[in-house]
Amino acid sequence: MDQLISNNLIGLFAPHSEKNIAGILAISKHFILHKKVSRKQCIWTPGVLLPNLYFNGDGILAEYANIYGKLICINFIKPFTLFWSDASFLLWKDTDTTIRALTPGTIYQLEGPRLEKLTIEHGMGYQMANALTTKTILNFRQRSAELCSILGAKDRLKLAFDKDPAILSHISRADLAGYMNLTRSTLFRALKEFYHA
Amino acid sequence: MRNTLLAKLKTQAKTLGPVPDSALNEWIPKLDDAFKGPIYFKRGDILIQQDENSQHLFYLLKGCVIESRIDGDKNMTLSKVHSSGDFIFSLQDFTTGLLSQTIFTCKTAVSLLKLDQKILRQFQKMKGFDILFFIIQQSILGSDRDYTFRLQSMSPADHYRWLKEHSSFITENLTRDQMAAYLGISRATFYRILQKRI
Repeated sequence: MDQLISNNLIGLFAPHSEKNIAGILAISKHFILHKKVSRKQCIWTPGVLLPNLYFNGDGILAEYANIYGKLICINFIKPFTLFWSDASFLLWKDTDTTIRALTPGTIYQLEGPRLEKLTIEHGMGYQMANALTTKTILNFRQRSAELCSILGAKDRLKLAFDKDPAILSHISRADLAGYMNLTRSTLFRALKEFYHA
Repeated sequence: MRNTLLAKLKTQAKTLGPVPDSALNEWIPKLDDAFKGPIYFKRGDILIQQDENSQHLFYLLKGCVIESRIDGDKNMTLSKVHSSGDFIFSLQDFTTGLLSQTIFTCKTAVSLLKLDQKILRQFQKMKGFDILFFIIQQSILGSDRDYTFRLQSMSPADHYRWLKEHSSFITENLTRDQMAAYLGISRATFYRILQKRI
């Protein structure tokens, strides 16, 4: 697992990963088993300060946010990837989302204070925080570009299936409609067209 | 005018978390020296071109700047609308070294402070600057996150109403085409929304 985590971190720190390699390897080694999750089990819920870094083992996770009174699926976390609470880890507020397992899996964790100690020991300063923030900003920009593309529902669906075929087969249609910002009836029509095409 | 930049950094640092005072005390005067200006731009002037290698850091004192992108089919996507108090830079170029994928255009007369890229590169190699850069990134993340959440949770008509109420500089300064791109709808759909409201 260390190797998978360090590969993720190297990607995150690029193009500055080489000079931080000692710190990256140390951070990877300090992740510990957080919990084994069954389907629909929550990893976190809103209102908690969780400045931790997590690694998703072999499961698939979905992140939900209650935005302006609507509970919407905002993100999917693929197997073998790092994840964190944007609100808690990067903005130092309480969590404002829920992360739930779509399939059973294993979650590893590195607690914030431990991570802070390691970054100080290896002279990494705020580089980790900057790398994660940049990655999160770029993810949000990509999502907003997708949501703003004026493609029809069928084309949007095709794009989503091309991008994450394994993940989309595990989510409910209501979640998929929320994620793609479509009404359920529009999504059903698009799915029908998609499968008949 | 310069004081607004310093006040912004201090406030942001205090609101957002446990940033050591020593780092702020050391870096804020350095930034105060390094930011030049105010520099003035006219409506329509371009701050950063698409495919330009620009790593200047701007702090917008007054006015409105849009960040947009034209794809191969000449479709426009509008990724951000900056107003006074925002830091502006090409995130793509700054973090990956790749050329800017977006174009930054002044929608109104603009005044700003500019930190030259040569100085910025020196700063980046110095200890402690990463804390300040983190504070700047936090403010960008907060607004990008809000925009994405609004896109995902509101209908275009509700989003437009929300913008009129909470960010009127956007609805006042964008053309109808730009407004449609910002809401993620076609021009025709946006016109229908406007007609219904009238």
